[in-house]
Amino acid sequence: MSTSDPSRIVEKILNDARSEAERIVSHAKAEAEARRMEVRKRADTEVEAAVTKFRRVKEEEARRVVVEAKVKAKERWLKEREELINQAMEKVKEKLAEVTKSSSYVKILESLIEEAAVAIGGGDLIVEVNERDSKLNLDLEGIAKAVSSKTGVNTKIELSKARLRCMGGAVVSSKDGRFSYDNTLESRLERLSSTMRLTAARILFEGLSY
Amino acid sequence: MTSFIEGIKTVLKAEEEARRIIEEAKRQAEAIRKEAEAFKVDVSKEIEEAKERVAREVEEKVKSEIKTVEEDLEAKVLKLRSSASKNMGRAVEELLKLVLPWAEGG
Repeated sequence: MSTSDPSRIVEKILNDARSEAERIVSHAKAEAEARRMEVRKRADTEVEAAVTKFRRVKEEEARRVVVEAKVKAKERWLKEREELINQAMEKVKEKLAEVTKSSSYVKILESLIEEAAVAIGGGDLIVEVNERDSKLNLDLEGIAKAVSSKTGVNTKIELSKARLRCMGGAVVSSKDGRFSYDNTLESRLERLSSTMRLTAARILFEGLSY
Repeated sequence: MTSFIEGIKTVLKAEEEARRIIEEAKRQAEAIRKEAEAFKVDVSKEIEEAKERVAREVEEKVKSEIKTVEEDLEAKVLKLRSSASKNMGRAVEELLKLVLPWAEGG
């Protein structure tokens, strides 16, 4: 560069200065951006860690709440199911009450007495029934014959003067008091309760499961 | 000679201007650095906000799942009742046969 052309020297000096200034500012901006990004990244990492832990706790709580709701739902379903089975059981009791007033009841009562008498092995037996049934024309002799035949033990059956407080059926006891068989309708319902409930469930809810 | 001296003066003045430009750039750079150093993230606030967001999300999810459980239950209870209603007569007849096998129809 010629010293005789100071304007070109000045231009170069200023251009160099401007370039250097631009470099300095750009470098500062880049550093600042890098720092901001670093700060942002550290913050994001910290936030992410805290939130992940928080989410885990909240989701576990939520899972428990949902499981509890499902358990309660199943309990309600089972309760509803039990209530419907109970309704069936109540209807059976109503039907039994109707049966005790029907003309076929005498034969049924005789069958109940016979079953009880066979169960205790025949012999000298006493039959207790309720007040209403005591007025029925029961063929105790015929029953005794059938029991003798089935058990091979000579059987006599007489009606007790004592009366039961029950819907129907009979209690048959050996005269010596050693054996007794409760074949009242209430007792039969109680003995058969589990089987009846299972049967009711099977029929009422055919093909249904929770 | 005069022209040469004038030339020198112009160059010196330009160098002065160049120094001023550089100094100004350094001041700007320093300001940028200070501003960057001042940049901070309120992590506690961001955590709180994120937690609130997560809590809302999870709550919505739970509400939705519980609603599904309840709707499912209602549907199942309706099925139970409908099935029981349809089969009640037959069930009672079968139960009666269990209690009194000698009854009519038993």
